Amino acid sequence: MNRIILGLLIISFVIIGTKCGKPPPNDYGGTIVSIKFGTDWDLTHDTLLNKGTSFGYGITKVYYEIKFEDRSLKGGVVKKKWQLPFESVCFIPKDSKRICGEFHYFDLRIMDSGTYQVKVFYWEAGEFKEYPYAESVNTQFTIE
Amino acid sequence: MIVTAQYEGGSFIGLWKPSEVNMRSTIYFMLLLTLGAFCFAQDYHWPLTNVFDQTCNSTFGEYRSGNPNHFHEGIDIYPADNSNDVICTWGSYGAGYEVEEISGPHTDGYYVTIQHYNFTVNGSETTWIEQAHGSRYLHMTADPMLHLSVNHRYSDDVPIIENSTFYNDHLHFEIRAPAPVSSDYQDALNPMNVDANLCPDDANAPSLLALYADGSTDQSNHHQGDAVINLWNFLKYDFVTNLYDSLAVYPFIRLTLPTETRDNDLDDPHILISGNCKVRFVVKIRDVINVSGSTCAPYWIGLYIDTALAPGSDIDPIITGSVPEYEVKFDRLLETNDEKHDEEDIYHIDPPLISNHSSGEYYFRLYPYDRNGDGDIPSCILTGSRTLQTENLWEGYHRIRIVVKDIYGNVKTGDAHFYVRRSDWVDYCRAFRN
Repeated sequence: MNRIILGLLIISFVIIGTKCGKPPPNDYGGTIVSIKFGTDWDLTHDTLLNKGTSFGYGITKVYYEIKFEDRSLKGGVVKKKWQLPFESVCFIPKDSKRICGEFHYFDLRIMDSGTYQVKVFYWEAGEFKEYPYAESVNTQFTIE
Repeated sequence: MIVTAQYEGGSFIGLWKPSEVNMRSTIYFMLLLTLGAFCFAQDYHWPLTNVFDQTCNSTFGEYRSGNPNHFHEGIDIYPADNSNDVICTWGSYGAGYEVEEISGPHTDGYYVTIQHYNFTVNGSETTWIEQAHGSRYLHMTADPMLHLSVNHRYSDDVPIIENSTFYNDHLHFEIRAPAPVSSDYQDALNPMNVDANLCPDDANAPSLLALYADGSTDQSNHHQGDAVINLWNFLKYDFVTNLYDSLAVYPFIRLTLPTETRDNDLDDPHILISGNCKVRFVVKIRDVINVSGSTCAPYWIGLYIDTALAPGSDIDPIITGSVPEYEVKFDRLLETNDEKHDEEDIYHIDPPLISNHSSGEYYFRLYPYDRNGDGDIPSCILTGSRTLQTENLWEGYHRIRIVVKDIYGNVKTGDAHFYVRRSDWVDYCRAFRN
């Protein structure tokens, strides 16, 4: 009997130790595990087409997809800050796993050559905080 | 954790051990309390007898043109067989009323105004206690003066009228607190909100039909916007074809609010706002209670923006108690002489800008509006100083959720989405759950 109790005690310590060692995800944050860019969009499957990080001159619109892990038991507001004098917020409902959108000039003129980088922030406790990114995440694309 | 309790000899250990005397006193006390509660319990009664269902075809707060223009101070009750008795709504043992005024016959029947009382009888002496409320009953075709006299008091079992027909087949019924005095009929309460007995049966949720977006600066026609509005498609979805109604009255843009699917924002209207970004919204709503074909005003309307910013995430904001940006609630109308409003102040009866004071759908403003410019906002707008100010929102995509409910709590929600643009760039996106 004592051995059983001792065994259960050890198991419970292991479980508690495992749980304590991993910080719980915050309400709004999590980690960005993937950012992809593309020049077309598949309406049927809601997925990116013509993915890449370098596009030829002459395109007018870039689609993107940002995936989260451990994000958000709640809804919230996300801000994307482009390496331009431009940033925009986006309301996302709870349990959202990814956000997808299109980035372009309002008048759909040809996008300028150069590098476009995006940083992503979440709103918490009255301020925007930048998401941590997984190591493999690419945050930029170029237009030749 | 296990909690144990012991019961020993009629008492909980360590709490109270009643003696026989205590027990007897307690029983007497409880009996008295029960008797007292029975004797003095008053509540409201549906004022029309001989009806199977409590039917209502017009609600509190609806706009009425006339002299002066005003909001409906009561509810219209629909008689089942048009030959009913009207009884005092303040009822049960020890309740009564004093007739304050009987007027008529008008073209729309007789009017009776009463003050509610409680009374006690001690031998041959009756003591009357004035209550803080009274009620009014309009449109009976039978003459109440055949059995009632002004300034006389009656027990509540004396009907106000017996076996009457009604002008336009309805009894208009009001509750006022304080009670009506002479021709001063202020402080109307929504009867449905006063007592559950005054609620008609209603299993129908209100209908949210359309959202009008107004970016016009035409002040002469009471517009308050200052923005350029574009119907907007993105991610190859077509929001414009299905959700934009080309019959909209210029300069409004009319967007259909489809049956709400809360987890799918791609079936909702999307617009893009630029320029000075100041847009005001009008929403088309109706509530059907239980008379087929009736269109009534809903009880409560709230507008929420980016609801996740409020505590409780974006779950139903009514459940989470999130604070709406804007709120209209018809539970009390002050109706003072300087608070008579035009329909423009809260809603339109016909589509915005063509306001002919005719019956039909209701178009509610989702922003406070002071038509006369005298700072006099209708009392039913609870958050009059709060407005969804699109001109002050962050650049980017936002969602508004409009919530409408009736007195029973039947709820309907509708979402609309817009992008506030302040630069040459647009980054319109949406979230996916998988």
